[in-house]
Amino acid sequence: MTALSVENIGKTYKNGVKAIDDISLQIEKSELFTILGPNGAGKTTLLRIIATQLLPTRGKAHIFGFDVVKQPQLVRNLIGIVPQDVISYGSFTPFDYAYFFPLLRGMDRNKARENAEKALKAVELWDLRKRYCFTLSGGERRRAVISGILASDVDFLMLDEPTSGLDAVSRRKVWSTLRELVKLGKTIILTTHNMEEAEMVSDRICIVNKGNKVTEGTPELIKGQVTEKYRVVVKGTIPGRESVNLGDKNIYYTRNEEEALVVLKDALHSGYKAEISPVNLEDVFIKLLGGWENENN
Amino acid sequence: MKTIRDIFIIGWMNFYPPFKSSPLSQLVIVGFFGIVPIIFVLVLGGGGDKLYHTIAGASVSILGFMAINTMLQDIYNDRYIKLREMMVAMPINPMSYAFGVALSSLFFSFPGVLLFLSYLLFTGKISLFSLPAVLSAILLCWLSISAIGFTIATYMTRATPMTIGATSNLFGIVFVFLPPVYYPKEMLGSLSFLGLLVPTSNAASIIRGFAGLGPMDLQGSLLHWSILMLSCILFILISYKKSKWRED
Repeated sequence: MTALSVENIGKTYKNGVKAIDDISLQIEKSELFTILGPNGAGKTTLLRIIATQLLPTRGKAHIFGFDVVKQPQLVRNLIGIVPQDVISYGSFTPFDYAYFFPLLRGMDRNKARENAEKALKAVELWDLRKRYCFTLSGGERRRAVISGILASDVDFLMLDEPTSGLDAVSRRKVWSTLRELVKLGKTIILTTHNMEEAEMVSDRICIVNKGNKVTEGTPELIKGQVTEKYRVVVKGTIPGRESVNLGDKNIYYTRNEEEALVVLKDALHSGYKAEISPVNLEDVFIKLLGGWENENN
Repeated sequence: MKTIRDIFIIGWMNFYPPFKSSPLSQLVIVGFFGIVPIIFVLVLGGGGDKLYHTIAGASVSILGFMAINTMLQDIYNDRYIKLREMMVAMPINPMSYAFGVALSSLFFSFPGVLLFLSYLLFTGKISLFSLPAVLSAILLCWLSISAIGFTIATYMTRATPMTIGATSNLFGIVFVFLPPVYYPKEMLGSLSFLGLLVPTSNAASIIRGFAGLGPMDLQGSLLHWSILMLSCILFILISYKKSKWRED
């Protein structure tokens, strides 16, 4: 079942800035879909259009068959969004977030309390439910906001860079919560510029740049789109080989393991420290967005 | 029905958590807008009717100042805690949000208003019979100033926090301290018409009329009520037209 379909969406702001040129994509129910892109790629604009907060200049988007432009009220019954850089209200407790949001969805107080308890347990904040948000850590505060959306029991969740600014432990907790939700049948779309996050949590990824879709697919499929399969990071320079320079280090990309081992051998012969590993999503992302060659320019 | 329920939920969620986390703020509100002016009047050799003028004004000024602060609350909800952005993506009517945020200012000022009106009631200055009219004047004043607050907020989408705070205080002075709210408009002499320009002084004049502290002729009363109602309708319409729930 299609949860979201976006057809040729474009957005140009009144000041003439073109945030989205032309993007189309489709998300299936119970899928965690990530929009990955550099700053200013149009990720947030796209999410805000889908969330009925912003009107597109052209194109169509449907959530579970409802038009986000023409039927915003019907769409709003199905969605919940955690905006970018959201800071929780210091005077709210996690319980306030988890309780008030379902009330605003029309639930009665008992049902709202029941949902709040489930949501707070899911984000591991039940024991901290009565603490004011200003006394919580950054990760706990972010999870408090997410609990409001969870308790609302919506089918389609949108999270705009939900883990930006969080430490590794808090980030993992948010990821774990998101994957649990997918298991429960929720559809999630999130934006990020964190490659590890995209690779770890996503069923599928869409890479966007300058308002256009660059590519789309599973993390493995996207990583398969470049011919280079290995990288050798060398603390030094091997003469006669093309590399991406990182100060006193160089990255050598190779098409196969044999070639990578040759580079590694050369590096060790020259007395440099070297490390070999398969290419990761970040390597592929940079390649797809303009190539490693540009990094040296 | 859902609209009314949403207004109360939004009003409560904008009032109760901050109140619960800092109940002392209530004391500050009541003290600053009520007790401090009363002490001033007593120290400056007031007493008698001057004291009642100040108490009648205090019941309006608390509400007026808190209502203009809906501007701050709206900007804070929008820009910092992103509560408004999250609500846009919920099945909530924009007017429910606006009235809800405005209602929170009513909740905040309620103890102070109750305190000063009770004093006027127990001292026999206003009667139970005139209480509904007094409360209506106060509510109209609250609606007008809240709508003005929302209208100002629409012009401040790119203002710095310092500018927003300063603007709110400036409008507080314009609506609460400068016009004849704490003092009768007759003190302005030939400039007493200035008292007609802002909702707070109209509401204060109405309360003074009922408390026997000022003239209560039909023409004057009609003028005050008409200005209150018209400013209320006008600013609700302007804020409705100017504010954007869904950006384009």
